[in-house]
Amino acid sequence: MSHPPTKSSVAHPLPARLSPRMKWIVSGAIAFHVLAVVAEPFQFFTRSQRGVSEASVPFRNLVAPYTEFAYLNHGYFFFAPEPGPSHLMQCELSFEDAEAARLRFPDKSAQWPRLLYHRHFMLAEFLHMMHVEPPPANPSPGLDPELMRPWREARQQFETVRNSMQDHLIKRYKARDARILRIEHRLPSSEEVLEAGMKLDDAQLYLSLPDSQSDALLPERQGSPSQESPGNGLSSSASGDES
Amino acid sequence: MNAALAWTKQWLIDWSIGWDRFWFSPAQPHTLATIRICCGAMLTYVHLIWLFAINDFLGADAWINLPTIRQLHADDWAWSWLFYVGNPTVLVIHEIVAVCAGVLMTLGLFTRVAIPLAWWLTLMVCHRLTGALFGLDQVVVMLTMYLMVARSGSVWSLDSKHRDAAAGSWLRPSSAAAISNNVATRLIQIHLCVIYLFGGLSKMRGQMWFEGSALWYTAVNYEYQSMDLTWLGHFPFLIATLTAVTIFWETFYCALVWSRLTRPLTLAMAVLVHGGIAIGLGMVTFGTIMIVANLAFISPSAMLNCGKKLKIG
Repeated sequence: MSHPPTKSSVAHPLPARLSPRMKWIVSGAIAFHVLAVVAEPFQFFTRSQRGVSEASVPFRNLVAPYTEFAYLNHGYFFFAPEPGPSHLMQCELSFEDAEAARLRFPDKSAQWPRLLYHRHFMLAEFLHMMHVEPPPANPSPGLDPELMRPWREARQQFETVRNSMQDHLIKRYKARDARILRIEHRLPSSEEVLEAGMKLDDAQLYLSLPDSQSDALLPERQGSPSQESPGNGLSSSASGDES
Repeated sequence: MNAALAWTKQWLIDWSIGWDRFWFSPAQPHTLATIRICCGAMLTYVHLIWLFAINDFLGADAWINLPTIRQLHADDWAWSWLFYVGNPTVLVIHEIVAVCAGVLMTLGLFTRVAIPLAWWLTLMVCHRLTGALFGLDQVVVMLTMYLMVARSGSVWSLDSKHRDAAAGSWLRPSSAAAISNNVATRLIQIHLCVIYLFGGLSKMRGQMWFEGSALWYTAVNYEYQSMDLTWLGHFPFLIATLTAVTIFWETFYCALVWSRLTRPLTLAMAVLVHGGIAIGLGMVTFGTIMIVANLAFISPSAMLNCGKKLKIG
């Protein structure tokens, strides 16, 4: 990209050119940085159920301290590999001196401006992403305990995050107890919307996700517990009616 | 054998000349100044939102509380001093300073200090807020990081009004074409190419982007939607075509944007896609910052001409 000289570039002298040695140093830094920018999404791209590509590991390990600290460790999987369902948090609160209430995050009517709504949306997606179903209490005798360890650790991390969120709700709304359920909002097909007249927030599209596969996948519950506000500033919403 | 060696030597020399010209040609600061103004305004807005939701997101009893965030990052290099701060007063001061840094960056006042400060404070917040972040944060931190290298505050800024001498100083650098401006611009350009390349490649792992329904399923996502786009369903050919154009544009952006012939079309498509995301999918901030990042492919002279027409500076 060569650009014609303009008034401002003519008016001032050009900066001193870089010495060859400095060019080598800057070139090395640029090469490392570009490697860092590529290594992270490359490893993310190669992820599968069997792990990641061995080709990505040495490069990614080399740049990990830099990319993780500088917040460059992203996969850039926007709406990929496919646009999927949204995930929400259904929060059930119980109080000492008021009826139970239910909140849903995110909630367009409660969180404004849009950026704040989107932050809550990302939290709900994060909790879903972290979810790992509980390992069996009594694993088969022949199962290697070392194989169970990562499973237990991932589950423990999910529970830590979920408990943190539940504690936040208890303190935020001065509740006695809080429980978060994960809700999946399925995306309707064009036939469902255009031919059957289904609305995008139709109750049928919301599914309560089980914590473990032994629990049934249930349509999201309606009505109970009470949807009334406990009267402490709680921006009560919601039930299955997302609007 | 000698011919092969000579060819290899010439190839290396050509490569070295190309590398030198690509990275070390001085460039004017007007494109980066425009990105600085937009990016500073976005950072100001982002931190204002955090300021008003400080207890919910940053406080000791936030959605992700302090012990949890420390545990989440126990095995990686992401670190923030906010892992250890729950005091609301300190957090409010932190965010007020971040808002001020964003404002200074936008105005171009003490830019040399304001941009690194804004980047650092935003980085600290981003590590603290694992779980609540999305593409906006990734791109705004990336742009701010590259702006630190450049002299984006040397034009269209309060610094340029207060500069004593044409040669400038470290705090208020000259507006002359500089290598650092070129390096920053090139880094933004390459980073954008990487983002779009992997964005496109990742979509190729799914089926909807190939069979043409991805745009429909994006448009009917109620949680994203800010405008009713279900009417698109009456035009399946249009949906399938837009889906195909999107994935091809995204994947081949990294090649098409460098040619002068295809660059205008590639950038126009970026405006359409990100404008669509901003208006239709309720992500005004993300759509806007991606359009701002694409400005890196507009030459400084074109930006300067725009500025003259708008009577800026």
